[in-house]
Amino acid sequence: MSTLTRGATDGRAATAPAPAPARRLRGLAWLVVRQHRTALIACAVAVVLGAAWIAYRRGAMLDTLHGAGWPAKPPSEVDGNLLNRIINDLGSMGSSLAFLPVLLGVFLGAPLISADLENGTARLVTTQSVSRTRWLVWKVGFALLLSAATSGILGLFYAWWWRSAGPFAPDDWLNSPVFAVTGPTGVATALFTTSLGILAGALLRRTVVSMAGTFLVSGFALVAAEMFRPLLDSPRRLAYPVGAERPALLDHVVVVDEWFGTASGKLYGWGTCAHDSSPEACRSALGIVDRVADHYTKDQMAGMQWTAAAAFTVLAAALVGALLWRARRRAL
Amino acid sequence: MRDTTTYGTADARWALEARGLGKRYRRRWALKDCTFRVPAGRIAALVGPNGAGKSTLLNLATRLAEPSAGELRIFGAPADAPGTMGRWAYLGQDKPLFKRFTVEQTLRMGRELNPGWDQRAAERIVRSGQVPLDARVETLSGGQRTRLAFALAFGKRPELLLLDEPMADLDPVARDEIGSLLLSEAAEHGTTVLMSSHLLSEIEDMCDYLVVLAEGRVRMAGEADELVPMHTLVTGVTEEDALPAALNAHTVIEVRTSGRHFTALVRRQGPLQGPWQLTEPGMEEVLLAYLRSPGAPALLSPTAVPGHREESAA
Amino acid sequence: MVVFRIERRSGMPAYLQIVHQVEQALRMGALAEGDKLPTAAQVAATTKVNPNTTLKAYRELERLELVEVRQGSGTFITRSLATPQTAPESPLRGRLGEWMREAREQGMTADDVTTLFDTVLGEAYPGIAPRPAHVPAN
Repeated sequence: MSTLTRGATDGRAATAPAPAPARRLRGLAWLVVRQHRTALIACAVAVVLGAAWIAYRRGAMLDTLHGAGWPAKPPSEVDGNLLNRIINDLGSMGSSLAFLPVLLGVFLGAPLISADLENGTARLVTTQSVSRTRWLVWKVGFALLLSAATSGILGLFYAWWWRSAGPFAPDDWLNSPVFAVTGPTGVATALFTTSLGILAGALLRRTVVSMAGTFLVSGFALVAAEMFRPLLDSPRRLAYPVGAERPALLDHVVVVDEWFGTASGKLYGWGTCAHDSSPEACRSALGIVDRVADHYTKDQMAGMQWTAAAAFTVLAAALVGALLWRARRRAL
Repeated sequence: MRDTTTYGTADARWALEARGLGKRYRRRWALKDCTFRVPAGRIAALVGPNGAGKSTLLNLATRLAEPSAGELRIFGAPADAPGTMGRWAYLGQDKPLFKRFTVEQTLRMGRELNPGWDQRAAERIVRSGQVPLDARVETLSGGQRTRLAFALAFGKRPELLLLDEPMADLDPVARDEIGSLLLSEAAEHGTTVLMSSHLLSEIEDMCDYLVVLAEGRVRMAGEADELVPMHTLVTGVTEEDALPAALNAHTVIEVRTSGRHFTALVRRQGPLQGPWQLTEPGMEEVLLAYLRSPGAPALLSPTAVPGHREESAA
Repeated sequence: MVVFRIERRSGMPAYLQIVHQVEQALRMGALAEGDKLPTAAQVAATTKVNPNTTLKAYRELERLELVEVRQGSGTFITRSLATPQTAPESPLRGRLGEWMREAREQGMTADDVTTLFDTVLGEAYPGIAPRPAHVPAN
């Protein structure tokens, strides 16, 4: 009989080793990379361009500072306009990078599964010889890895720039993008927004709807995270006598609140007696002897970043866990 | 139902076996109390009006849904058993494919995701339709896309091929071509096929086994060669505006009257005698009668009854 | 290789049409002893016939002792039905051809000829069943 029919009787052994290019990626890894090639390229381009831009701006900044005589001259003698320009530069790049997790959630997370549900390709893949869960694990893993790599690498470059600015970098690390962008926070935030987008896509099943939803919820979450950031650690408290000179320490920390204090430690608001005809008399009547400044010092930053990162990572894990738990129980 | 010993043991003679199978979506039963089986090696048609439960049945077989009641077995093993996935292939009506993949990449996907992949068979199906391997899926015609989807399905080397309206959106030439392809590939590999379709003439041409669903229940199941000849088309004159009483000894599936004339499709329960004209109905006529009369008593040929002790005639 | 042609609307089951076409090919000498019949897959590919139908036809032919199914290699013709009289050069056939041409010249239509032929056939071979309305010839 024909060779074709003989192939059939030989069964699986007859599977043709067709001439194929060397396969570096196999199985679901190949499929996921091929399917999300565009996202992969977009992220790579964003990383390369972002890193190049940071390197360029950093170089330009150092050139200007060296031109202005730093570090030979002390920073206090450097032109204030130049200082403002550096702070603005760092600030605008930082804000863009702080927005990056939202973009990753909207453009990488949200379409990850919803697009497959919309085009029916979810059904195509899960009716091959791979289970739903395995497919989801690969896809989610890919998206989270890509998301983490993109935000992580750009965060490292930004931190490098920030460090190079040395004394010219803004002192207020708590309320500037550097907290959200560098270190573990940037990566964890991106993991959270991406997971949020993925789960939204799986639940809402429509790409555009889940992109919009992810944009709103992740934007809201990042604003909320910034608002509650001071709760990550308790501020330190410094008291100094009323009328004494403000300690130099307070120039380079993040002061979040200031009070008046009595000898017994009772606190009065900053505005106490401000409108009185004789503020000093009014204060001494209350027994106020100290000024009190609540502040965060630079050495608290890393700990707070790790706490924030841990919170975002736990949220991300919960979202991914919910997705997989749901997929195990019922069809997508 | 004398023999229930096959129950619980893997019995590869039955490609599909449903016992009391039901699926409920919220309040509505999309499929209820379905009991039937399809022997291996058949080209079986899944027939029924829209909403009859055909897609639900295919979803249950392909694990896209979980049964709410009863069970479904594929070659004797539960549909959700780990090893079962590699034994069937599914092709949906819209034939989803990755639009940006090339034909070659689509086949590679099959190779990457299926351990028993048969690249030669898949490529042969694609090539015989003059589908260029380097073309992107989005540039293919409907017929070419269907052919590629079939290549993906047959490349998996399934023992059971589940098809949801495989030819609904094809032009006549492509339909004929894909129909021939389906039958010849199925013959070549001994694949059992279960295809849902609305095209009764196509079913008559291609299928040798019938599973008819209406309102979520099985109306008819079994060998087409056995089921169709059990029916007779009776034409005659009504008696006092009613069907002649003598016909009531038989199972009347459907009656249509015009004036004093009636035409009835009956399932014979013995010899038909009377002043009537008798004709042998075609498969299409029998199917239509059952589809139009969901209240008619269900008919299952012995091979279609799970537990019935009978060797599959191969 | 024989190519079967299935007339969907003839009312005759497809497997019987295959049986008849094989018999006819055997009578005409188009198939001879030792020839291999197409596989079910080949028949399906050319004529969109259900493979089980083809296999059923082959089983019927085997029962008629016209073919032999050799496991794993195919279905082969074991016996020829060709008679010298059906060969193209036989005198009987030549005379029938002449008769047909004459009938046409005298204005008889194909239907007239068929009716006349069936009538005479019935007279010559009493007891045979009337032929189905249309048996496809290949």
